[in-house]
Amino acid sequence: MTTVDTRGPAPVLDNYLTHSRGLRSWLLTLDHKRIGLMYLVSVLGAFFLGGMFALLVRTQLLTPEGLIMDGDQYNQAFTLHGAIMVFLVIIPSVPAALGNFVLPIMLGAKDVAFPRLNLFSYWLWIVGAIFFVLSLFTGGLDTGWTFYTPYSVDQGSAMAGVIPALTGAFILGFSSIFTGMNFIVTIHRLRPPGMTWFRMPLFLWAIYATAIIQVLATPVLGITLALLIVERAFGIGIFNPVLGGDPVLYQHFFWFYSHPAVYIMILPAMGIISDLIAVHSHRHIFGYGFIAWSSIAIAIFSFLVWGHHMFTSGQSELVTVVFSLITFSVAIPSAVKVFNWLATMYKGTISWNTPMLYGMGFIFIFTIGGLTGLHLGTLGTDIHLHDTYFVVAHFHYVMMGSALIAFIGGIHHWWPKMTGRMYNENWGRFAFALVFIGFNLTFFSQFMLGSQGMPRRYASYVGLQQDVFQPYHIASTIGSYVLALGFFITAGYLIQSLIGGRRASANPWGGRSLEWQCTSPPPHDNFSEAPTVGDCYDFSVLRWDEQEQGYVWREDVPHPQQEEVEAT
Amino acid sequence: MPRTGTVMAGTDPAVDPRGVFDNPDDRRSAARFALWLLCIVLGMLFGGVIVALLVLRFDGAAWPSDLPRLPWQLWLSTGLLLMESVALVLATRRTSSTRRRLLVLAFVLAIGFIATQVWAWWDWHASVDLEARRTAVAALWVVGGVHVAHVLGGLVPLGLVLWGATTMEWSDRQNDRLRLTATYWHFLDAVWIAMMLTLLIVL
Amino acid sequence: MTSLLMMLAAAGTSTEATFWMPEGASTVAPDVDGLFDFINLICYIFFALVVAALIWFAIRYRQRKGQHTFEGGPTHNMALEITWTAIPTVIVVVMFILGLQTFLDLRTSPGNAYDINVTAQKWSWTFQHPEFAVTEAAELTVPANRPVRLLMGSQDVLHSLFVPAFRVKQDVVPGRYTSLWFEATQPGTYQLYCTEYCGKDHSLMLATVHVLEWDEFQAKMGKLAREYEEIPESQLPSYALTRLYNRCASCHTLDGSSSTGPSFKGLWERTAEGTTVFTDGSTLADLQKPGGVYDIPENYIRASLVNPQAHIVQGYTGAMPSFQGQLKERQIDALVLMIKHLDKLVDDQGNILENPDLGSETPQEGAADDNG
Repeated sequence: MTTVDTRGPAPVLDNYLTHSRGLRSWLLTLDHKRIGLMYLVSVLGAFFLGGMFALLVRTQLLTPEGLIMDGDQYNQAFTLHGAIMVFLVIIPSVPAALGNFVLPIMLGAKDVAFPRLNLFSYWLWIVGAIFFVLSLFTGGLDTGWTFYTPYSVDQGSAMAGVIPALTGAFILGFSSIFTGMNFIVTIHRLRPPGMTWFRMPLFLWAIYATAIIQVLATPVLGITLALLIVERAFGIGIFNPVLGGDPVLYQHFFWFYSHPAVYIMILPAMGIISDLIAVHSHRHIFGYGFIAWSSIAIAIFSFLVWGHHMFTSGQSELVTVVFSLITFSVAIPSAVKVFNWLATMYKGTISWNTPMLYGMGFIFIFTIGGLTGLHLGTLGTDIHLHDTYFVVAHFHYVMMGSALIAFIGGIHHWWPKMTGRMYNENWGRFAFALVFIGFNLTFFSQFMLGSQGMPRRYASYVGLQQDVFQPYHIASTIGSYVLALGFFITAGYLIQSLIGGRRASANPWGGRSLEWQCTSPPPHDNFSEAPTVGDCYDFSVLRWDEQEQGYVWREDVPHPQQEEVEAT
Repeated sequence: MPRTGTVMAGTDPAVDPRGVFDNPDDRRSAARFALWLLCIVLGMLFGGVIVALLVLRFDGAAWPSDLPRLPWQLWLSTGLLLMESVALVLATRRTSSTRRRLLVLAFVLAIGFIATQVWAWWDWHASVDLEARRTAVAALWVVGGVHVAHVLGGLVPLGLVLWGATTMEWSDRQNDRLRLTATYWHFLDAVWIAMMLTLLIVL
Repeated sequence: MTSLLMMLAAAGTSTEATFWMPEGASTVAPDVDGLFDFINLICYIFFALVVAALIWFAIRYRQRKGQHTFEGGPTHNMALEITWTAIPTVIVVVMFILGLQTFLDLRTSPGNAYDINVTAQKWSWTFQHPEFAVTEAAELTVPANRPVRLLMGSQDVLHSLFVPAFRVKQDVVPGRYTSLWFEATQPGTYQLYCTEYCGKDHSLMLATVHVLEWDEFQAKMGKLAREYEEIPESQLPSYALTRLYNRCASCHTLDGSSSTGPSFKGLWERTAEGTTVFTDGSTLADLQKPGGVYDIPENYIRASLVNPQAHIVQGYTGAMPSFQGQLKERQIDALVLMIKHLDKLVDDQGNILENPDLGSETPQEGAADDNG
């Protein structure tokens, strides 16, 4: 792109970006859009840091002996990669960053119910993140993101960064709880007239289901981490068998939160995809009710399956069998969603732009991630696959390939709304291709590694099977470099669009949910006039307007607002 | 605190700084809803503590058999907290002068609750030989401590309401605060009764 | 569905490595592989359907130039949605039942199993064969075509024992025992991993599994058992500390701290001076009077190994099992000598010294006394 194209509608002078100026007006803002944007920047910063650790881990594993780090360094690298990506990136990515920006506008509200609490959540997040970074400087952290006892309380081996990291995770947990509470109250109490529960865009259903999990599960993580901090600081043994505690109890507590946390990560992603697929296929979402209820069903089931992380832990066999059975029940609503998305595309008008490519990439990757969950939910095969790279590959397909890909897709989808600028589509498609190929190369190799027997969290793999493992590791590492390149290019063209991007119209994709009814970027109070709530998936009333460079209401279809005016 | 929002007419900017609620009543009911959610959050937290204690007691082989019985002062604590709830129920119904006295009483009762807790566990601790019983003792302390921490947290809004009742004209807003504060204390009361039952089973 | 699985399982009896699975060398491997292949088949079918539809729709229904308005289209179809909910439900129920069968096979150990005690500690494995009184470190020798049961305990943090070729895995948890069984079918050498993260050298916590035919196995066990007979007398205390003590270490420390049992540090002095107090209030000195059972200290140590319940030291619960029959006479000699000369073998913190100086007093004397 050589010339700067600024065609399109003239910018609206007073929008949320220009409403007030100065650093203070950002850091202490109560505007959900600015808070969402600050989350976005912070989360992407953490994503960069976590990604760097991932590249270190991958580079180490190019050779069986380990290329660049010793055991302790490697253990810190994978621990920080996991802890940062889980607690600082994926969990807040969609709900806190995109959710904060989009939720009130989609709902037709002026802001979330408690704007001050919202700002407080953001700053709690920052404090939690600082504790995490602190753990790097106070002696490192090598427990894995799961903080399994008794290793994490063993003064001899675990490092001095454990307490700061636990404190950080504890604080981040409360940030997440307050965000969840805020969203639940907002959705219950701030729906404008006309916005009934079953007129809400599916993204809101997903965020709502997520918020329920955040509110119910995160306190248990909080108390578990607090007990661990007490245990480590004062040398008592609630989870330490040497002092009369029970290490498997810790695992139960940890997974009671952390399994639902997986759905904190994937449910909002599914919500984004539901909206993305419908908007960019320009076709009414298929089976709205099924998708909405399946979000709630997943949220409920998610509390009943934690034991499937512990099939080999020594828990009783009956418990193991029951958990396996319930685990399969989660597979059904997930499968139903995939079929609904495909049915939405059927006979649609599918535009091959970047957000839709991410949407289709999501379906491809999530299908693999979901199906390989079957190998792990089945008891007989899980015994062999547990704690191998098969598990690593599976949860990267779900957490990274699905949750983060949807997040990136969502950023592209709402980028014109957030910034008022269009990015370069060709670069977008090219970067998507790199991300998609890089991702699959990195993580598909790991399925074979795992089923062949490569254990996870290994700094080296010298042994009888090293010749089997090495080619897969090399492929995986090359894939990770391609993936990283894709992300760097994405960062490049998105930043470029802020400076030289074409101005975005109010509705560049043809969406019907309320955020596409306000200007891009939205005004400070979201809507200059009360928006009209209709069927947010009925795209037949829109048409492309060349001059506007966006979609407008069809002249031959009566506009509900005009009807009202005529009626009065 | 600088506000960046333009304030809509009819809303109190100190309560609703972004003017998200068209009607103060909506705002009030939203706050009550949020408080219930907070109670659910804390209920999960206390539930976790209670489950941990029960598992340690009945699943672990290492629970000491010679721990002293439940300290009698805890019954006193229970009584004080129940009176606290009664005082707050009455305070939400009465008019100015009685209300102020009831709020002072509620505050004193809360302090009394904390004092009896400290007394109870101090006494109990003195009668335990710590060696080899550290984990059990610590677990019981955590149970008491987590609750006391939330009682301390409850003193802040109670103190604010009391301060409002003594220094300024009683307003709707203060009445809202009092009702929310009372609900939170009833919740603490309910949690304490659950904890008492657990302690009775455990000790 | 079951017959399909049987067919796949039968096809999978080959122990050769495949694209997905490493070579299989245990009786359960074909079952696990058959189940894995069955799930894979289901996955391939679903994946192919989803991706084919995805690509077909994306191309067939792409937005063409100049297409600026859209159709409404159907919003739902109850019959279709119920169908595509019901079919996966049936499939996962079948999968669950098949997985359950294999799991129960994996977990139910046959009665006539050959027992091996496994001790995991950072970052090594110790395998002890009670039947032959043999202890191996970092190498596990097992007989082919006989069920082997591992009874596992950890001395520090969580570990997990995994042998890919046998398709078995079980966490090793401190403070309790877990068990695992397999029946190896193919003589050969296989890799054993620790698969529960345990710190710095987690990835070096490896062992090699040697599967031998029964007679070869017996011969090797016999050779390992005689290993002690061939050790020079002067080396016995060091051998006991490096090869036998790991079985004592979970209860008896070397640094004086109290654990499940009394520390070995100072044990010899307490025994020699008779200061040890028993649960009934008597002291060891009472039993050491002329004509008493323990006229010489070595006999008390020896009796504690073969009949530990006879006298319980005050403050302990007497949790120790008897080692009668598990230890050879010469190994008992070695342990007695180790305890006697412990202060020369370890430093004050209980760390094992590289080159212990046993001084002028040769250990033979003690051994001679004991055997005398």
